[in-house]
Amino acid sequence: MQAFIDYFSSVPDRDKLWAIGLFTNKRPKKIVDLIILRLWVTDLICIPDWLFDESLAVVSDQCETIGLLVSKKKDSDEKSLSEWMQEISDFSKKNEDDIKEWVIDSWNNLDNNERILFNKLITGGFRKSVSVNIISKALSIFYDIEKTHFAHRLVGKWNPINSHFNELLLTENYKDYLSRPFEFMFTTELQTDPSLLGTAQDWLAEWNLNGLRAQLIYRNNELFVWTTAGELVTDYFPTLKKICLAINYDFVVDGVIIGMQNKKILPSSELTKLIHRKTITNKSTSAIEFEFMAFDVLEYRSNDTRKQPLIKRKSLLNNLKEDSFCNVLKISEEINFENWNQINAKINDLETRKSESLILKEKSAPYEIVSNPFWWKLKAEPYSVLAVLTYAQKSPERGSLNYVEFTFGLWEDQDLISFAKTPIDLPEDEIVEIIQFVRKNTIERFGPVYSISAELVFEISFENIHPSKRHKSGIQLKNPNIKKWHKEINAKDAHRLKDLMLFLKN
Amino acid sequence: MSNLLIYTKKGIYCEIADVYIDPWKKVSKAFITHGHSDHARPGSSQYICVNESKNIIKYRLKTQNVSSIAYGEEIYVNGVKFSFHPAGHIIGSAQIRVEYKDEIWVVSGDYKTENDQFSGNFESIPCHTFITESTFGLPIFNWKPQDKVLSEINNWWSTNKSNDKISCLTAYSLGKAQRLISGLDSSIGKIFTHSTIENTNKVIRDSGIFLQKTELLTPETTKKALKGSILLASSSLIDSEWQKKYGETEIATASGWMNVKKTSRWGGVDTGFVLSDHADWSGLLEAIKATKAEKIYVTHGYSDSFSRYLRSIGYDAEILETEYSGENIED
Repeated sequence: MQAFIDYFSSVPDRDKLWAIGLFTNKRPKKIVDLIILRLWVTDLICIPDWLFDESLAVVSDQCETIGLLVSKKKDSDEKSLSEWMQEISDFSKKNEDDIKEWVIDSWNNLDNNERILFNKLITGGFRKSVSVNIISKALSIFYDIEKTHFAHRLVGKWNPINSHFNELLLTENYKDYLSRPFEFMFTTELQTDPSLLGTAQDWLAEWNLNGLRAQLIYRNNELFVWTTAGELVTDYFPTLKKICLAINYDFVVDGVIIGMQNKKILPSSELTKLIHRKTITNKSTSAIEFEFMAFDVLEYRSNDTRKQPLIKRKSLLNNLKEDSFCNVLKISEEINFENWNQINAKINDLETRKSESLILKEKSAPYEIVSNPFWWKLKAEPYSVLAVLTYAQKSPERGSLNYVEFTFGLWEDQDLISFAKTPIDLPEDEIVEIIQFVRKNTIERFGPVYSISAELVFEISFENIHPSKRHKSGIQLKNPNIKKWHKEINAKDAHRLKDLMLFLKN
Repeated sequence: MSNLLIYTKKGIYCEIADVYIDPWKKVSKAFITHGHSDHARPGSSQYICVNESKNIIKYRLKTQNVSSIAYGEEIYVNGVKFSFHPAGHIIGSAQIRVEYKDEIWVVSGDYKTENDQFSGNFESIPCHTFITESTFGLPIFNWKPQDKVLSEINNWWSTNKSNDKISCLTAYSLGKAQRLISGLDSSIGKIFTHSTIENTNKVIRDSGIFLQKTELLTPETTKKALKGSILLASSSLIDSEWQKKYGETEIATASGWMNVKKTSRWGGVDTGFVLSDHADWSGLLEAIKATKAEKIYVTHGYSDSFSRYLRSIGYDAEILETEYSGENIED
């Protein structure tokens, strides 16, 4: 991000626009094939084909290899990014001989790094991208204008060739106001017993479901979906438009986008991945069904409702649900409880709970960001298993002797199957003892990772467990952590992988 | 290999003179091209090198059995004429010319054709058989002139200085370190060195070679003294403890490997400058051409590709397997 800010302060607007465009996938079309470029370069410096291949094997990138084979011949006037991009666009219409002459001349004028980038740009191989979120943040700092303003402007169709920087990014626009979300109210993790919050009757509780937190903003017959990261993601979730079809007034609701695949809720990381994809394909979303689980209403019939007490807002939300006639909109289910003991029981009951945490909300509270929170997150007691330390990973920090991550295994027949990696959170003296053990008992080394003879047993806690095809163990744990080192337990008495499977709900 | 020099398990060997050149096993008489540890190995009974290399080899091999001669001076061993000639690789590096009954061989050791003003100016020696290295024997390796790279390094240093950062340049303690020191612009600030480098500096200065002023980094060196300075050291010195104690430090290294993005990560540093003590692609080809040799043996590096290319352009070239290792990122 700092690099963007530095760049913005050193170049004119046209170059800024191109830099933003290039990093947000608005690239020029390729004007020459890599294979042609390769022929030109081997011809130019008279090397046989196989020597190009040998060089490529060392470099592993065609554009870079081609770039390194040529040397800078002359110093000429530097062209700016936008001048280069204009040239590339001009030459896209010319014939191959003209292009060849221009390419070779450009090669002779450029440094290695510039030449490599040039090769990528003309062959359509420039694929670096940066999220709109980061670019918006950089613009926001540079111009001291709210981030959401830029996020909104950068989403959608625009092209650096025919856009104007000021028009695209800076001038005020009535539509901006329409799409603006409200500031999100967040939950704070409750570290104490909930009874300290006061009377149970003053609070309501909801499951904290796995999904993508978002505000739906519907104003002037147009829907905008904003995430908490300040990203406008309307186009990724076309299903959500159904919610508004029957509603004839403006509203803003807060909730969670939930993705369901094969009747199962997708982890929120999957949804985040989805919105960070470059292009939206039907293939990527068709198998997933989306719902919006609303838990609050911030604007209702064009009125800001945030100052109203939560229970009042809840009833407005129910009205909204009825008006929508749409089952894509769901209302977050309230958990019945009469006293705090019941709440503690519900969150820790594996059979009935719907999530590993729930949110407690004060019924009379407004939707307001204050230092003393109205919303608390209550987490379930973590599960735990006894596992054997199998690998230790050294810190990538130069010269450091510390380890940053341990890997643990559970028994399956005679083998230990890795199932969890954890940060190393142990008392100092135990860490020293373990490091000494690792040094003496390393079996093999793979780069920074040391495999260790199976002797040390640890209790590993975790918040939740999901089946996973990507992991050898077949499961993925949420927030695994070291709870305790059990020196007294022999490695062969650690748990088996099948013991862990018992925690998996069907 | 046949006749004058042959390949043995102990190294390149001249049977008539009973002399080994850069042997990798213990032998009785070893002629040494330069002080790097893959060429000068301990354990032999007698070492012969050039005057500029004598103290370095004594120091690094911890031996007194080193005799030396001047560049160009001839010595005869059982009728075989040996002489040492500048290789331009590091201070005191030499190519070894071997002549017997009108047949001339040259063992280049490691070499660099660009004159860096410090390591001696590479000399082309006409010969019948030339043994060349090939550390950077691929056409993707083309070095910029040294003055351009040095000004990049000095600019980096002065930018760091103006941002109140310490600059740390990692470099192999023999060769690269002294070449860099010679090229640093001491008007920017002080040049500090880590003890492994400073010890080598001392050996070199004691041999009567001028090297600009450096200061040894000690536990007593203060944060204030280091501010805006450049430090030549191993990158492992700069950990979070260091940064806590002395302040933010930018780390860079200078090596031919910095030319390629993939291999530039080897050093694990923030910035890489492309500066090598070995010849680049065109340097190797020009050096070989200048010897007018009929036979080329290619040692350590991209020896496969390089010898194949030499054959494709008409040379009688083959690979000679050795135990030399080429350019290291650092100690």
